[in-house]
Amino acid sequence: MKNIFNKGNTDWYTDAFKAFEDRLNGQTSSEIHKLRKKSLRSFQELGYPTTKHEEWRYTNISSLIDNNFEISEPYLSGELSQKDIEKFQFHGLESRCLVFVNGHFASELSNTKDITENVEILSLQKTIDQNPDLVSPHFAKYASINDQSFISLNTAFLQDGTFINIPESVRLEKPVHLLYISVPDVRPKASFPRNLIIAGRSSEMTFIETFAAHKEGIYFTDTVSEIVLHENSKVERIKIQIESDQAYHIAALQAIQERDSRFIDHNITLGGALTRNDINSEFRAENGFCELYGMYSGNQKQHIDNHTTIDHAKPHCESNELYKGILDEKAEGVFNGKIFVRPDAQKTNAIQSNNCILLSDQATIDTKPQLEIFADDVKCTHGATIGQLNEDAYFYMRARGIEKSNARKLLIFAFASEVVEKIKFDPVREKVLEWFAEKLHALKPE
Amino acid sequence: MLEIKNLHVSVEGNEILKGIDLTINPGEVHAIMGPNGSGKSTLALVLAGKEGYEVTEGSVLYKGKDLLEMAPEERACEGVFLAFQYPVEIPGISNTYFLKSGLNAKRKYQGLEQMDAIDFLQLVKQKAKLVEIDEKLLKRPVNEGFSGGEKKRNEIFQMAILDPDLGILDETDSGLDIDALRIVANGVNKLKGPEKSFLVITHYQRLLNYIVPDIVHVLSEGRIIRSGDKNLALELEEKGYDWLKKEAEQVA
Ligand SMILES: Nc1ncnc2c1ncn2[C@@H]1O[C@H](COP(=O)(O)OP(=O)(O)OP(=O)(O)O)[C@@H](O)[C@H]1O
Ligand SMILES: [Mg+2]
Repeated sequence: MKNIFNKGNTDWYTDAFKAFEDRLNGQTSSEIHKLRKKSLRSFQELGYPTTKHEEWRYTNISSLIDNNFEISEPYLSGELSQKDIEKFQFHGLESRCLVFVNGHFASELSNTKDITENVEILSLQKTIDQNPDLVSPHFAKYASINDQSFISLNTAFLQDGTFINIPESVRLEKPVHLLYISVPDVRPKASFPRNLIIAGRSSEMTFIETFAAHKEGIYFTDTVSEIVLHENSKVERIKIQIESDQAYHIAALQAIQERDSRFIDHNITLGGALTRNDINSEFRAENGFCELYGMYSGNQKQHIDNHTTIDHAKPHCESNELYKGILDEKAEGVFNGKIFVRPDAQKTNAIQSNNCILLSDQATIDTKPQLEIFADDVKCTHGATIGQLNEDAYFYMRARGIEKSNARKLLIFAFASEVVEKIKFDPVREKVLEWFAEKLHALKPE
Repeated sequence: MLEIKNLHVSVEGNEILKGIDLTINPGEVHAIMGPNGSGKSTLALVLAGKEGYEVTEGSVLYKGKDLLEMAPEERACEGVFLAFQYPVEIPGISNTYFLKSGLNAKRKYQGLEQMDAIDFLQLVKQKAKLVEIDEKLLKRPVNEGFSGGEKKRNEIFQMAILDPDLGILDETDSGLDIDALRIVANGVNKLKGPEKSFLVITHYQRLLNYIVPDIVHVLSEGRIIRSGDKNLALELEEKGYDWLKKEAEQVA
C-alpha cells in the first residue's frame, strides 16, 4: 500500500516485545499470547500511518515515533499513595474506582468494594489468567488489529485494563471510575490499557475514564476499549483526558449496538501534546440510539484530533453527535465525523454538528463531516461552524460592568457548556468545569 | 451629569450622527423621539462604548470625565446603564450569575466588598418583585428563548439591580402591553432621584404618560431638530415628524 504507512522504527517495538515476553514468564503459550504475537506481526506489517493516509492527513505522529518509548513496568506497591490520586476523584460521587498506574492495575489504590455479586468488574489481566472463557468470545473481535497500527500495537502489548460484565437486567446505579495515572520517567514510557465491557440484555451502566499525569513529563498512552451492548442495554461513557502537556494519547473505542440499545459517549479533552481519538459505533440491529458528545480545549501547541464513525447498518436507528472545540494560541484541532447509512438502513435519523471557536490567529481547525448515505428514506443533517466568540454577547457583558478577560472566559464556558451539561452526574460535571477553569486560569461559574 | 457636544459618529464610513448637542443635568429625564434609522440607537450605543462606532468629532463628558476614553465596563462601573433595544441572548450563562458578575465587578470598582450569595439573593427577590419578573426567568440562560416583552423586562430588572446614575433606555417600551409598560415605567420611577438621570428613547408618547420627561428631543437624520417640553411628544403623536423635518430643512 503506497506510502500511507511508514515502517520506520517498528524494530523498536519488536525488540521491546522480546523483553516484554520474558517478563510474562510462563504465560506465553496462552490464546491471549497468540493474539499478542499476531498483533505484533500485524503492526510490523503495517508500520505507522503517515500524513498520506486519508485518516491521518492532519495528524503527524513523527515525533511520537522518534521518542522510542519503553514498555511500562507493573505497578510496585507503595509507588503512589491515596493522597496522590485524591485530586482525580469526584467528591460526592459514590463510585467504584479502579486505578491503573502506567497502565497497570494498582489494587491497593482501587476501591472495588460492594460490587454487586454477580457483576464482574475486574482487572482484565486477572480475568484473562483465571477465566479466559469469559473474555475470549468478545475480546479483540471488534477493534481491528488488521488495519489500524495503534490497535495492533495496543493488542501486542496488551496486559492490563478492565473487564466489565453486567448480567441481564442489572442496573448499576453507581458509575465505575477507571483512573489511569501516568508517572513520567526520565526514560519515557508507553502504556497500553485495554477495556472490554459487556452489557447484558436490558442492563445499564456508566463508566468514567480519567487519564491524568502524576506530574508533567513525556509518556505515551495507547488505549483501546471494546463495548458490547446487548439488546435494550444502555452504556454511558464519560472520558476525561487531562494528561500532561507533553503526553501522547491515542485512543480507540468500538461500540457494538444490538437492538434497542443506547450508547452515550462524552469525550472531554483538556490535556496532552498530541491526542487522537477514534470513536466508532456500529448498529447491528434496529432501533438503536447513539449520542456522541465531545468538548476539546487546546492551547500552546496542543494537537487534538477526533475521528468518529457511526455506522447505520440497520434501519430505524438514531444518532446525535455534538462536538465543540476551543482553540487558542497555536493549538491545532482536527474533526472528522463519518456517518454511514447503509442501503438497508431506512428511517435512519442522524444529526451531527461540530462547532469550533478559534481564539487566536494562529490556532487552526481542520474539520470534515463525511456523510455517506446509501438509503433514501432517511433524515441526516450536519453542520460545522468555525468562528470567534460572539461579539454582541461580549459587548453586552462588558456593558454590565464585567471586565474584558472575565467576559471572554465566561463566554468560553458558555460555549462549552452545551456539551459539558450533558454529563448528568453533578460531581463529575463540576470537576470537569473545575479542570477546564484551571486551564483557562479562571474561576468556575456557579 | 452628561454633556454631549457636537458629536459626530460614523459607522463603517457612513456618518450617522452629525453633530449632537445634549446636556442632561442630575435628576432630569430626557426623551428622544425620531423616525426609524435617525440614529437614536447609535447614540445610545456610542454612550455605552460599543466598538465600531467611530467618533469623528465632538466630546462627551460624564460627571465631568471624558466618557469616550473609558472602556465599556468602566462606564458601567461609573454608573452608565444601557437597556438595549435588542437584548443579547447568551446561552450557557444563567441570568443570575451574569448579573452577580456585573454587580460584583461594579462593587469591586467602587472599593466595596463582594456581595455574598445570600445578600444577592435577597436583592434579586426584592427587585424581581419591583419589576414583576418571574423568578424562573432568572435561573435561565441570559435572554435565551425569552419573549420580546420578557427581554425588555429583564433589562429593567438588571437596571434595578445595578442601580445606575445614568439610565439609557432604548425603546424599552416597544412590544410591551399596557400592563407591562406600567410596570417598566414604575421600575424607572422608583429608581429616580435627585442624583439620577435618564435618557429615554421611544417611538410612543404613551410611555411618557408614565415616565414624565423634563425635555423631549427630536432626532432626525443624525441631528436634533427640535427640543421642547413634554407637550412636544403629544404634538408629534398627532402630526408625525414630517412637519418638523420640513421646518428643519427650511432653516438649513
Ligand atoms: N453597522 C452598521 N453599518 C452601517 N450602517 C449602520 C450600522 N448600524 C447602523 N447603521 C445605520 O445607521 C442608521 C441609524 O441607525 P440606528 O439604529 O441608530 O437608528 P434608530 O434611530 O435607532 O432606528 P430605530 O427607530 O429603527 O431603532 C441607520 O440608517 C442604520 O442603517
Ligand atoms: Mg433603535
